[in-house]
Amino acid sequence: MQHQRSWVESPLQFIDDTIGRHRKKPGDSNIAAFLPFESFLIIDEVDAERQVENLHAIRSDSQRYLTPVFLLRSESAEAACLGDGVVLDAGAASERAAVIERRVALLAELGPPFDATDRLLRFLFTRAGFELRPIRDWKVARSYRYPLLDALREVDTDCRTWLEALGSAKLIEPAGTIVDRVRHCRACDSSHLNYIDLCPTCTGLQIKAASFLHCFGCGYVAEEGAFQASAQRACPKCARILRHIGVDYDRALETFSCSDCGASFSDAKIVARCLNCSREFDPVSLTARDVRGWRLSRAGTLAVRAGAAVPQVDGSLASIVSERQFIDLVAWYQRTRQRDATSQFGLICVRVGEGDAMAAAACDTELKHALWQRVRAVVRGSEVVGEGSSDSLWVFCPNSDPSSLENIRRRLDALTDAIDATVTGPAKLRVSFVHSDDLPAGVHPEGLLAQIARSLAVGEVT
Amino acid sequence: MSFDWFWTAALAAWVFMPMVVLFELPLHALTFAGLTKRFARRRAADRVRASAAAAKAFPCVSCIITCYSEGADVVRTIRSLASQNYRGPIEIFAMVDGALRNRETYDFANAMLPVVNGVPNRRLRVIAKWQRGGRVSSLNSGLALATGEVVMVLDGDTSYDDDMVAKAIPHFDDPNVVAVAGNLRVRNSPFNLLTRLQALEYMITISLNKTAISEFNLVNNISGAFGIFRRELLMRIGGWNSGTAEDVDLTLRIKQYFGRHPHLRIVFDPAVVGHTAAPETVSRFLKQRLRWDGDLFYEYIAVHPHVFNPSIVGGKTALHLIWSALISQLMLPPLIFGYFAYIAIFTPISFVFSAPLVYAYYLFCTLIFFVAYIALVSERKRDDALYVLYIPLFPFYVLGGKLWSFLALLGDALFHFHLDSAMAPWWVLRKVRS
Repeated sequence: MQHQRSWVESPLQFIDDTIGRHRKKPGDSNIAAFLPFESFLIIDEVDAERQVENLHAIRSDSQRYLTPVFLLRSESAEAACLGDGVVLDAGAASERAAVIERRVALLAELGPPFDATDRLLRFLFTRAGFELRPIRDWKVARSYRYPLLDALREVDTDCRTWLEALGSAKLIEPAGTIVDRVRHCRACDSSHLNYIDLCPTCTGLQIKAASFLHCFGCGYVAEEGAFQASAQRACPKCARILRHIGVDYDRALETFSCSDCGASFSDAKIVARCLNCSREFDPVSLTARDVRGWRLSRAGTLAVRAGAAVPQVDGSLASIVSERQFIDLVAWYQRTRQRDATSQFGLICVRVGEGDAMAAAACDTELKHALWQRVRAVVRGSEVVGEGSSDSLWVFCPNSDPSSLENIRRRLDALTDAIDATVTGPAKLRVSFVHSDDLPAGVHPEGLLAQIARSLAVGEVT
Repeated sequence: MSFDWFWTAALAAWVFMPMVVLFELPLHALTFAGLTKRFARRRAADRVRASAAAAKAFPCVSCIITCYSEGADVVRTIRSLASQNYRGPIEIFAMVDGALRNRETYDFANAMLPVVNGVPNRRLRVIAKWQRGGRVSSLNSGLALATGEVVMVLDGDTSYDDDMVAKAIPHFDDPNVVAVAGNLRVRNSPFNLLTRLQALEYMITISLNKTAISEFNLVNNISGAFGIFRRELLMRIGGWNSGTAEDVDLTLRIKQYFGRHPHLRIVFDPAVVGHTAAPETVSRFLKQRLRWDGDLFYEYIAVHPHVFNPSIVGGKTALHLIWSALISQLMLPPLIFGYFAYIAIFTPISFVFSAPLVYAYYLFCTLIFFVAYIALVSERKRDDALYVLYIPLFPFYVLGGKLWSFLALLGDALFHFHLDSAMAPWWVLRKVRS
């Protein structure tokens, strides 16, 4: 065995620390599947489930997620998304691991990753050309998941939202061709949909198909049952025995009839019913999303090298930064304010829903997204909009005195009034404002944002 | 000096005259008698029939459009039906036969679904018969799906006046009326001389003649492009029969009830108007007439020879059918052909003298009929009056039509042209019982 490197203190310890936490039952050791080397691991495991289990454990570990891990035998599709490929022997693994090590070394001066995004970007950076690939999984609501995102994400992070934020921030870019296109429920975003054919008149389920036969001899057309009065198929009009389809008769047409209302029709009405929330939609109105692979973009590469995920603040409707980025921005601005007391800013929290109905409103992702876009359109391009929790949006207004903050407040009030007047149910906007002059000194942005959000939840509007 | 040529010409003229007196004058007399009767009661009758508000009921009307390869033309047909000013419901069935190979027609019909279904009291269903079964299978399939009390049978390339349904339905207030034959006009008449002559022919032989004989319940054919029936009647007689000339076949089968039920009526209303496209080339025209006239021989001689029996169709109908169908349409063309052949072979010089007489006779008849049409029947007098310019050519057109009709009859009698019809595929036609 080669000399052990410091950043993998003890391969066996490493395995015990990472894999051991994921043992399915006491005493179950799959340490034998591992071939620990100086700076990489080889998993000698045939069972696909165990491969994924082990790889997931390693990638989930915030200390060791960058470890090169190879598979000695064939890899499953999911294992390919997590591992670094299949090797035939240790020599090949060593060569490939060396490439990864060199890129890891470029990040040596950076501190520990501050969030999941950072970990993901670093992982993609250390694997040149690595593609963040989806796999199909019927057990998840959206039918596809990204195993690497599952392994690296924070506990309460929604992978789709995370992926969209990364794409919007242009830290990752599409790779290759589209893998699939999946339609989602507009209410709960589930892709488990049941397409049902219904009666177009009464939307009942009790429909049945009826086939009409056409007698070549006399031209008579009627339902198939009319031709089957006896054991042999015969035309009820001319009594001709119909023996051979295409020679004596043919199927003129097929139609449907509804047992509930008696209507007859050629094409049933198709609706898509969500198996999760039971809501029904016209299939044409479903949200269609492309499923594709992603890779690290140039901006993402620069962000990794710089040690921070730089938000894309370009004033476009799409630029809604993550909560982490927003907090960092506020923190940075507070630090600059310490040097220059004249600089001032405003913070606005916009929350959707009202009281106990907030949870219900937050489920309607399509509506929420539409509301966020309207808020983004109202504020100026110089304001930074960040997504807070699942039902709130933050707006950072740099260089804003109380009067300009009041202008923004009036615009948002007009927007909330318009929405309140047209949208029924829980989807209402509630707004809270605070100016930097009103903030106590030294307050941490995270605590500040949480405090403002709480005030909205209990109905206090400042 | 020999006057043989004069006597020969006189003899030829005398051969012609009995033909005129025996065969044509009775029919002309019938036409004028019918027009006189109509004129006498026109004001009261037309006020009732022309006013949709006077109709006693507004039953559901099922329009069965037989489509095949009309392509975009089907849009015009469907749109004209959706635009009807009729107060009752209209359901439209666009039966696309052989929809698999006639995808264009099917797509055009489907494109009209949101247009028609957005109109109150109008519903369009596009029925795809993926495997071609022929026109009769389309008609019977539509009949099986139809729910209206009145069924209209329409061509996929024929459009209709907005008040067509409103003017047709009041006829069915009379429980004795079992069918209404619609009036067809040539939509593309300005295209060339041939279409103009066909338009003139439609005015005289369809609009004028059928208006007249309708007064005596002697309508000889309900056109397959424009027929209106009680659905109950169609169901009772089993719909349409396989084969060609299904319109003539259906009309004759309906007339077979006239002997037992003399009160039943088939009405022709010149105010119930549809517009169809006539053949624009000589070849297509001849092909159409080959089918029409050849099918007549097949229907009257092979399928329905009993329609000449008074006990089956009634005395009046039988007499009219003998005269108008058997003699005028089946016997006269061979006689005319034989007459001209005789003259050409034996006394060609007499043609110079007899031809002007014959021409003058037919020109006079045409002029009289045309004036009667303009005065008593036409609803577009200003447009139709211009066709007086083509009357001098009309006798030649008719003569040519009669000679071609003879060839069509001969062809069907000898070679069974009806089995080669474009109205149905060969695998259906070969199974048709004759």
